[in-house]
Parts: sequence; structure tokens; C-alpha cells
Amino acid sequence: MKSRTLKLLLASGLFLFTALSARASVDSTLRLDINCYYQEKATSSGSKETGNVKVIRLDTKQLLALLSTQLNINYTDGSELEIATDGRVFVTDTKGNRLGDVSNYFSASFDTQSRIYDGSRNTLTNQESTRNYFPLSFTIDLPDLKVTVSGIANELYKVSIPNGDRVQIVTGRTQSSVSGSGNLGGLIAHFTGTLALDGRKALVKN
Amino acid sequence: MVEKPSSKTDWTPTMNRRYCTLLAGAAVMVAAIRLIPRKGAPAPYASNLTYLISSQKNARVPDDLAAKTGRGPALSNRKILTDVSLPVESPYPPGATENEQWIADQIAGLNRLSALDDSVSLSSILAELRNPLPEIRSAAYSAVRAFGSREPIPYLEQMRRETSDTADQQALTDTIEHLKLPTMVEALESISVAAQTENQDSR
Repeated sequence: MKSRTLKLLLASGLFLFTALSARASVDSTLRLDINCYYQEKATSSGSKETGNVKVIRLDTKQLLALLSTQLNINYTDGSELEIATDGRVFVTDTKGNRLGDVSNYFSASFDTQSRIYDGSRNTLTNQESTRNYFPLSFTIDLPDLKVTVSGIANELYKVSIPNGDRVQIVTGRTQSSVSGSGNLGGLIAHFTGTLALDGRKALVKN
Repeated sequence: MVEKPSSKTDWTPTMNRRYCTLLAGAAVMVAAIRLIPRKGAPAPYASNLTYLISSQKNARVPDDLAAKTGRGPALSNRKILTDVSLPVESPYPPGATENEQWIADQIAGLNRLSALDDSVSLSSILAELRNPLPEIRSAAYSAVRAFGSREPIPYLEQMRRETSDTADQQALTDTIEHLKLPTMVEALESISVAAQTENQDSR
């Protein structure tokens, strides 16, 4: 009896694990909109200490510009950063073609194992419409800019019903408030803002 | 019985009134001819925008900095924005599945435009700030921020003066304040210059 209960528990646990983790992901274009705060000036004169914090902006275009200024890696106008489902980061052209792997300088991490979700998925057709929440982080490792920002992803994930050719459209749109601390040109810097991911692909259901 | 006035006293006020009416009519016609946009003429705000953007010389990124980024030259060094067209409106009725897809495509298009660096793309993004659909307006604000250029600040300030919608006013204020911030590239440049100056002073 005990062993039967154990088997049932194990089976249901395995089923639950499968239901939570067996979902496709989609490579997505990154859009960063972050403010960075750093100590521009700090002086002391007698008994008076004075400080100035400077606020600056950081976005995807700036990341590409930094690749150019700091590492002499140049990409054409309209280039974007694409984050693959495994966290690697690529530079893509306007048509989405990958131009280069920049994972040495940028990387992302998605803790989808701890995902919680609203919505439903059909396990036979894979049709899905869910709102997912899971931790994510994005790391920048450039000579003069080192930071990891993290937050909780709010992802709207949809897989359409297969059409006559068994093609399904997968779309993922993620928004996350992110923050973190790092180093800007040798100075302590704090970062806060939003990270957005937009992805879309066609799948052929087997 | 009403006394018939003499011909002189009758003619003068009547004719004066007629002349005034004619003159007023002619003035209205001249004004209408000048104000009604002709085919091929710039869209509303275009001339205003050109003036505003040309006058904002101090807002542009220095040329040497643009050269260092390895990307294209500053926007104002190329073609000045001359036209902000009207927003693109959905051909589908609200609530239709096609309309939802159309909105998603428009948003994706705005995101793609924001990665570019030319005045035509910027004009297309700015046009969508006046889109009747709030989803597209919101995406257009994000696209203006992502585009990153300070060139549209005068245009955004003009829009803020014209709009009575408090949400739009707030979005415009936030966008303007964001664009006025120094960029990461500019900050690293100034940090590097400050460090060099400090080194020279310490010697």
C-alpha cells in the first residue's frame, strides 16, 4: 500500500514537473531602458562634505555604441541585441539575421524552473496563452561598465493553434523592472529601469 | 407713414455696408487660400518642427562623439526633419482579431524603427505619438526613448503645450526628461576626461 502511494506521489510529481517545464521559449529582441546613478563629485572642506550624484541613461543603442568605443566592434545602423533562450546574446541586423555573438560581454539568465503562471496550455496541441512570472537577470561585462541587473519577468506567452500546415506561431513579450549595482569607469554605480523582450517565431508541430 | 430719405443719405450707409461685407469676404478667401494645405504641402506642424529642431543646436551630440561611436553622424548633420506625417490608422474594426495582429505588427515596426538612426525613421515614430490607439502611442513613446536622439525635444515640448490630456502630458514630460539625460557614452567620456585632468593636476 505504502509503495503504491509513493508511486502515485512520484507520478503526480513528475507530471507536475513536466507541465511546468515543458514549454517552448522564443529568442527575443532586447530593449533596455535604464538609468544609472554614480558619484560625480565628493569633496570635503573643513566640516562640510559635499556630494553630487549624476544620472545617465543606458539603452540598447548605447550598449552597441560601447562595443564600438571600448572594443572596436562595429555594427551597422539598425543593429539590435537578441537574447537566445539559453541566455547567449547576439547582434542582429534589421532583418533579424545574426551578425555576431557578443555573449562574452552580455549575457542573460532566466530561472524558468521557478516560473509561476496564469492561463492555460493544451498538452496535445501545445496551444498556450499564459502570463508567466520568473526571475531574470542581465549581465554587462565591458571594460568600463560591469553590472548585473535583475528582476522578476512578467511574460505574456502565446502559442497559436496549429494551422492546416501544422504551423504554430509563438510569441513572447516580457517586461521586467530591473535593478542592480556595478562599476562605471572605476566608480560605484547603481542601476534601475526596465528590460523588455519581444520574440516571435513559427513552429511546425510534429 | 415713413418718410423716404433722400438718395444721398440712403446710398452712403448701404454701400459702405456692402463694401465692408465684400472686403471681409475677400479677406476670408485670402486667408483660406493661404491656410488650406495644398497637395504636396507639408503636413501640420512640419514647418514648426523644422524651425524648432534647427534651433536646438546645443542639444545635439558632439560630432567627435558620434564619430567615436562608430555609428552614423549626428542626426542634425544629415537631413533636418522636415515632415511629421499623420499617424497610420488601423484598417480593421476595434476588437477584430486582425486589428489585434495589426497593432502587434505596428508596435514591432516601431521597435525596429527605434534601432535606426535617420530622420525619416524618427519622423515616422513621432507621427505615432498622435495615434488614437493608446497601445501604439505608448509604444511610440518607448520608441522615442530608445531612438535616443535629443533632436525631437522641441517637438515634444510643443506637443506638451498643445495637449490637454494629462496622461500624454506626463508621458511627454517623462520622455523629454529622459532624453535630456547624458548618455552612458557621454558619461564615460567625461569620467575619462576628469580622470586625466586629475592625473595632470596631481603631477
